[in-house]
Amino acid sequence: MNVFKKGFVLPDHKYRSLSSTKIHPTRPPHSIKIFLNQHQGEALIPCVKEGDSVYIGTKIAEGNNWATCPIHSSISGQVFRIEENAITIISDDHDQILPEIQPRHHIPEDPKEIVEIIREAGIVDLGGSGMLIHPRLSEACRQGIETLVINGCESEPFLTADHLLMLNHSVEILKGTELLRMASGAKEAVIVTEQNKLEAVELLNSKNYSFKFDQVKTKTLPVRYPQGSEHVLVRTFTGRQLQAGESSIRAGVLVAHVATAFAVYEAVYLGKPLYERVVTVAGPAILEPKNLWARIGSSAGELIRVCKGFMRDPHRIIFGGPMTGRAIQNLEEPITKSVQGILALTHDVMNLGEEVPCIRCGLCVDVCPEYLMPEMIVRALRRGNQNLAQEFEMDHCTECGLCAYICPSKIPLVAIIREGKSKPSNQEVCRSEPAHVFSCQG
Amino acid sequence: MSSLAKDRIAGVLETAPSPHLQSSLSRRTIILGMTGSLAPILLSSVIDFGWNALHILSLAVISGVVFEFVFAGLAQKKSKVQDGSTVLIASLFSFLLPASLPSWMVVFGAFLAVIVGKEIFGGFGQSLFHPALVGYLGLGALFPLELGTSSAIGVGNFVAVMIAGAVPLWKRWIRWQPPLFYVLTVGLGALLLGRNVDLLKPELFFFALFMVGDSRTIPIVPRGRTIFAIGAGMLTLAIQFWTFPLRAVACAILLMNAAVPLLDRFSRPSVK
Repeated sequence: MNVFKKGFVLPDHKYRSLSSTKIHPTRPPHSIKIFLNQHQGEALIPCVKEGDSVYIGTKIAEGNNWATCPIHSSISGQVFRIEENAITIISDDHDQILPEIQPRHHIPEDPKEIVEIIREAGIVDLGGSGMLIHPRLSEACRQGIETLVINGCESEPFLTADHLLMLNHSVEILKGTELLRMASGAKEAVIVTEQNKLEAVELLNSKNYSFKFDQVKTKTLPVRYPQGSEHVLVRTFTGRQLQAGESSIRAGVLVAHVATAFAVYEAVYLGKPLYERVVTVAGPAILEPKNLWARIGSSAGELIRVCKGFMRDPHRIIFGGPMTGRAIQNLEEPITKSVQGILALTHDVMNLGEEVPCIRCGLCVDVCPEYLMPEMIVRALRRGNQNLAQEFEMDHCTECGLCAYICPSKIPLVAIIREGKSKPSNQEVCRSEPAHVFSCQG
Repeated sequence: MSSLAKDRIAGVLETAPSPHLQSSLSRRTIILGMTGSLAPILLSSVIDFGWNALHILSLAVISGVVFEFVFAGLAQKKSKVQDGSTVLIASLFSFLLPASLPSWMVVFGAFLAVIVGKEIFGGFGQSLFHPALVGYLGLGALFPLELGTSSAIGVGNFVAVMIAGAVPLWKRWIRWQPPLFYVLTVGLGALLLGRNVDLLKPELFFFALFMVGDSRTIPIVPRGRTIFAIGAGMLTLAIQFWTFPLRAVACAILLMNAAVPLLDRFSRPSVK
């Protein structure tokens, strides 16, 4: 087990949303809007028409090959509008679940059966990336992996969804982990958390004592961002540094999220497709930060209203965590399967500032968890030298955001690297460096 | 959603790329902090050399600031003197000067340090060579006699230098590895060469902490920094056969500054 020394200990900001340790249920939203391109890969094709009645759990869109998984409705009602990449459903206030969805009497143990159930339930990796897990599970089964790592680290500030999930539903998570372990063919499964969730670990261990899932263990890592990043976990467990685009299966490890394990339990034991997930609604602008069971497709505004709305003006509202999340433009934006948190941030927490020239302090190099040199990459990109940036391993960047966080000159390092990664080589990057008087030919 | 809230939100929500948090560390904190921690050195120089020391320091700082304003005005760019870097560089430069230096040479040296050493390269953090050393060596090349060979006002007191370096080291504005490697290299080399360890005078520590440790002009990668420090140490030992210690150290560091782009280009953080 290698110790993760890079990265940085970020300010926590978690205590407000932990003031209630319950995951609050929400009333079904009046309408939902489901995006058809929220999974990794190509967009899905609707399989309902406008005007159809749907129940909770009715399949509304699916792809046309095995490497896709379907999406289900999260409320009961009528299909209102089908657009190019979204389906809007209006609720009929009955909130009825599809009658065919019943608990399973016989729990399968064959990996292929479990993978098929996971796929049919529309489960993607609920850790924020929207990546499909059933192809990776079957590939892991084929290639044979050592360890399945269930990531409960949640090292981003403000987010507490996984913490409360582990506290409240440790039995389900253990059973889901065992299912994932069987589906992936791993020899052992390790549930990993950080040291600010010790009571959750105790709970998991004590429940596991009765279940006697001998191959499921827990492990606690120090609090450090981004302890839960896939590359960092692979390096912690195997000592191997993954190349850009290399799958962790080659290193003998598969990483899945704690919320995914819970969703797998519900799909296999209860027959439920994925239509709701735990979302942390927090931030200094929210009156009562909480964790909610949110239906996929409900809008940010509805969920914030459950938390009694704003007590200050938010300056930015973010889906996901503050380091890797996406700022949204208005409160009607619906949540997708990969939204872990809705954060309403204000300037005093964000600490933004105007960009000034680099002073080469080296802090970005110190904290980069992928052992890159952000300053050199950005300097190469700003001079339009894409190839030099590639030489500095620009493609290895996992966009964790730490370099831009720590930069005292407030240079938007991550944004520039992201732009540079998306451009093909040898094209000018359009940002220009703030020149002081002359600029150095470095 | 009430309409009041909707109006409030519609105008205020901004979108921007992640990350949406930044640390409260700012460039100005680092620069002003480093300037402030030079206070013990100022104190010791006034104690040792009297009001001449204060006179030289203030002359250097004021003329440096004036030069920067004028230069920025000529180049029609907004002056960045507010970030305090000129004061820092002028102070470091003035500590290298002897107490008896004529005033106009101090002013000229400040010009060399601030304009030639810093501004022409693109400002603080963009210069290839350490600006204070550029000023010192430039002055030494033009006026060697007046500059003398020793007793610079600021660098003489070991305790003052170490106290001055304590806060920057603690806050990581100066890294501790480069100064350590530098001093070790020089010390070991001096022993091996049979010279007396007279070379380990307090001056060396001043240079080690504030010039070899100064992150602006050394490589950005730890491995590169180690090479820089050891190289500077070896060059110091070599050059001091030809000239007096202060200038030897300054030359050595400037030569290694020139190698920084090369070191940056080819060293990578080591993956353990």
